[in-house]
Amino acid sequence: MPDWKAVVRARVQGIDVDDEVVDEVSEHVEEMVRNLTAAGHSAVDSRAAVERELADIQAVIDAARSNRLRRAPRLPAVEPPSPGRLKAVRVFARDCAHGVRLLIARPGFTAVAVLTLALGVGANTAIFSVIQAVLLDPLPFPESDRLVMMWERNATDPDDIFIVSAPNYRDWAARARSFESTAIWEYKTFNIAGDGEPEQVPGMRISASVFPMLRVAPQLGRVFTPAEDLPGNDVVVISDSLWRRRYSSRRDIIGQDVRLNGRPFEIVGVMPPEFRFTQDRHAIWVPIHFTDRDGLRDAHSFTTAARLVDGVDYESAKAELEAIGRQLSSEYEENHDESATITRLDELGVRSVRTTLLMLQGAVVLVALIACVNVANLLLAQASIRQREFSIRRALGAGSGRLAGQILAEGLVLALAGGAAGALLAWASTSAMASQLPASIKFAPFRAAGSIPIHAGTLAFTFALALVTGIVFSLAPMLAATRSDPGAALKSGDRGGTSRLPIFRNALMAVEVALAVVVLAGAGLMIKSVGRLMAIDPGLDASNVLLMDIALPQADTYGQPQRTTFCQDVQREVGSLPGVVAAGAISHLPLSGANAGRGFAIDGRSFPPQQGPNASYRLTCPGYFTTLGIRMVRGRDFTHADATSGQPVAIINETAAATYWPNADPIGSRIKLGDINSNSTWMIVVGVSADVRHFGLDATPRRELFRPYSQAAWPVMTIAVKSASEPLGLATSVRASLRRIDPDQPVSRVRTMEQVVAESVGLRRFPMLLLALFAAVALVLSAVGVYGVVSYVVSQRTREIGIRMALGAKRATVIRLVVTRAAVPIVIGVVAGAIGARLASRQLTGLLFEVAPSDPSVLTAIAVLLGVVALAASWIPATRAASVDPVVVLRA
Amino acid sequence: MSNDHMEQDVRKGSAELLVLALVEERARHGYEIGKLIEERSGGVLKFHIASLYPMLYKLERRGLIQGRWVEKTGQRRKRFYRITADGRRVLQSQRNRWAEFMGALARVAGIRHA
Repeated sequence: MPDWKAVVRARVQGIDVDDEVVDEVSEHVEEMVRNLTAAGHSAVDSRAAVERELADIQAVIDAARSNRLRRAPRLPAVEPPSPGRLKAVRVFARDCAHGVRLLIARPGFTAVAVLTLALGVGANTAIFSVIQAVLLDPLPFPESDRLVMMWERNATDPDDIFIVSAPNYRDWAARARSFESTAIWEYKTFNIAGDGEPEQVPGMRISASVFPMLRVAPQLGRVFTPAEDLPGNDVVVISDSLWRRRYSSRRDIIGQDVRLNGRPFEIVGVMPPEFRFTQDRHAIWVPIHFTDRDGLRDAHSFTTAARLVDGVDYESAKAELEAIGRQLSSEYEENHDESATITRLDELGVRSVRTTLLMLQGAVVLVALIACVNVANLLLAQASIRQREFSIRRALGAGSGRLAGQILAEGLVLALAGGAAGALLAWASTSAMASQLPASIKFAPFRAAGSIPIHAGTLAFTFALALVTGIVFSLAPMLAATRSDPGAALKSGDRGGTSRLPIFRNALMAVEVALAVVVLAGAGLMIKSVGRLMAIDPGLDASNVLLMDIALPQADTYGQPQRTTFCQDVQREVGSLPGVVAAGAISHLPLSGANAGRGFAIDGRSFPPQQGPNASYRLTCPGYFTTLGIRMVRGRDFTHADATSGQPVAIINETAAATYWPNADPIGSRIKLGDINSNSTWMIVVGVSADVRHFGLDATPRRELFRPYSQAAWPVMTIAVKSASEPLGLATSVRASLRRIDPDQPVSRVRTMEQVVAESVGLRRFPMLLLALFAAVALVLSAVGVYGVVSYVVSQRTREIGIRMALGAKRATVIRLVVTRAAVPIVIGVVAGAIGARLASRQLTGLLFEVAPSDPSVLTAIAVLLGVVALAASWIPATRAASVDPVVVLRA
Repeated sequence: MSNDHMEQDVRKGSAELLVLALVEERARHGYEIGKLIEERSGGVLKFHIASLYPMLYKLERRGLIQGRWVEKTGQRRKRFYRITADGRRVLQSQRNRWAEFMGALARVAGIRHA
């Protein structure tokens, strides 16, 4: 038997013919020949019969082409409605399976839709999870909303709050009626020894009232009694993590001794695992043991808190404490420009990030909206393309209800796929984000550091949003189509689409573009801001500087140093290492957030009452300024000779010199701490250092006063080492050198100065990076959205374009036609977006640096960028439209 | 009017009816439809490929029949056509029209059908 398919193929060679026509005709021929042979006809007769049949095969081909049905993928069986719920479930399950097949059959559409939904769902959930963990989760204390922090504040600037002196705290506690309990503490680093390797552990000295105020009980042993606030009671409470790590959760730990900073303390209690005060890393609490120095009203070293009395609200308590602060300011000269205030405990450490996180949430909501608009557009376009298929299926007997059920199932499957992908993305991004968070967010007080749990509520909400988008935008056009006559749609060969849809779709496109402009503008402003910030000269050279902290505990913490040779030891051991260019140390490293302040008096000068000189107070070792590349403007740095000369010396910075010696040379002036009548020793100013932006690259330098460590002590010093090459490479050898100086004093917090500088801008850099990411996503999504809409419009207008070109329209004309039609909603979107951006960017005011929220150059650049991208996205389908063969189009 | 022309007219008018009636019984493939028409009309009505398949495609486009490829093991795949709900409605109305027409013919010209 000849291969009839090959015969038919040969007959239609060179003609554009559907494979199915070839198959059908060749099958017909084969069957015919079989019957002829069975009836006794010869092969010659059969061949002749075949030739007669195939003589006018062109008619079949033409008929097939002109009556060509879009061969839809295998359609589901259209069953009549049947009773029985189980059957309905099976039918729905089959529709869902069919929906999955449909999605697989359209990989391009599916990928874009699922990815878009995933981005919207995932990004929203991730950011909101961070907000939930950092801002919204209640603190792990009973009735934590009744807990407040008490602060001293600048009388004229209510936002300038700072830590407290013990006498002020005592007066507040005595006079205020709004607080049922108050507490005071100071952060402290302990060298812990015994029962293992010596290590440095952060902790605090606290009043006994801390734990009762928080209403937290220990898991083992007890907390402090009020009597233990007085010196002579060397007891300690430790954290659960320290107990597990260092003592292997031994139940007999209570009553054991531990050496803290060289002195034995008795462990009396272990706190429960979820207790954090104030951060995860704080693991040791000792009683406050007030010293004489603590009695200075202008020694601001303490952090204080209180629990409100039942029935008293936050505002009344705040007003009362402010009134008490004003009273004290008139009673005591040290309080002359101070007042008092309270803040909520749950805002501790996160006030500055609140704005940032809320702004990021706003941006990510916009991105999610863009994603929904995109998906809506995609679904609307798909639905219009499939009008013909719907009409056929209705003609085949499908009821509107059944059809709606099938399309609902398709939309559901798509939305579920997108939602699931979004959940995955949320999980991955919260894990990634957790490690990139700036320290102030990652280690926010009272919160568990590290991992950020996915917020189930947000995931559910955005998942639901995705579902609604998928379902609504699948169904809406279908419902419109089912109302019309299916036969009419089939007969006219119309591609379908109600006349209302194009306007709706154009509106969606404009909305999408507008939202993208807002997000891009926000990102642009932040990028410009951080750029300006990073360009600022901090006043020091951060390159190749290794840093590590070392504790130098002594009996009188702030008095004369016990280790008078500390600086010389550092210079000898560390300064002589190979690869070390310079070495020094400082008590309060720039840009680290550390600070202390002192008032002082100048010999021979008097100042109006309550306006005496004051400055930030620092202790340094000789070589510090050189190590950090800080210029000495006048005079000299400290030397090792100052340690033994017996003459107290000081260095001030440019701002201090300009403030108090505006027309004179401060070198040689005599100053002393406290007021003119205090019994501190007079110091001679020997040098003026260049200003350093200590409080942040965006903060103006303040007055600074430096003293050599050999003449005054500080409990923790930061060693700074300038290396010839990569600084962390020296870490091991520097650590070993310091151990040679004192084996009992471990070092901690090994880092580089460049890391410190980067961390100081972290609160701006982190949101900038995220916003830039959102902006890129928004740009891509809106470009895809514009491309999709214009492609669809072009496909609907192919016939019209074909006619125009057949009538002589040039390619360029067609392109211009398509692009200008698309340009209208794009331009409207850009303008609306620019207006929206100006309004929205006001939210960024607190985060911007030397950039106005309404910066015209940024807005203009963004508007132009988005306009160009959107027009380019419409150019591509326009070019495609202009490339159609008018003849093919008209014959179709 | 020549006999050939009359045959063509009748053929055109009745083709739909013939095909729908055949696929009403059960789904059939193209060759079978053509063969049955030829057999049951005693060879009077004969459709070649060039007229049979265009007609089937037209009926399919109008939604009166639905084609589906069926593949059985060891055989070349065949396209079977079955009637649709719309097809049934059209078939019934056509039958009614032909019945009326035949009735009219009988009354006017004395033609009886078998």
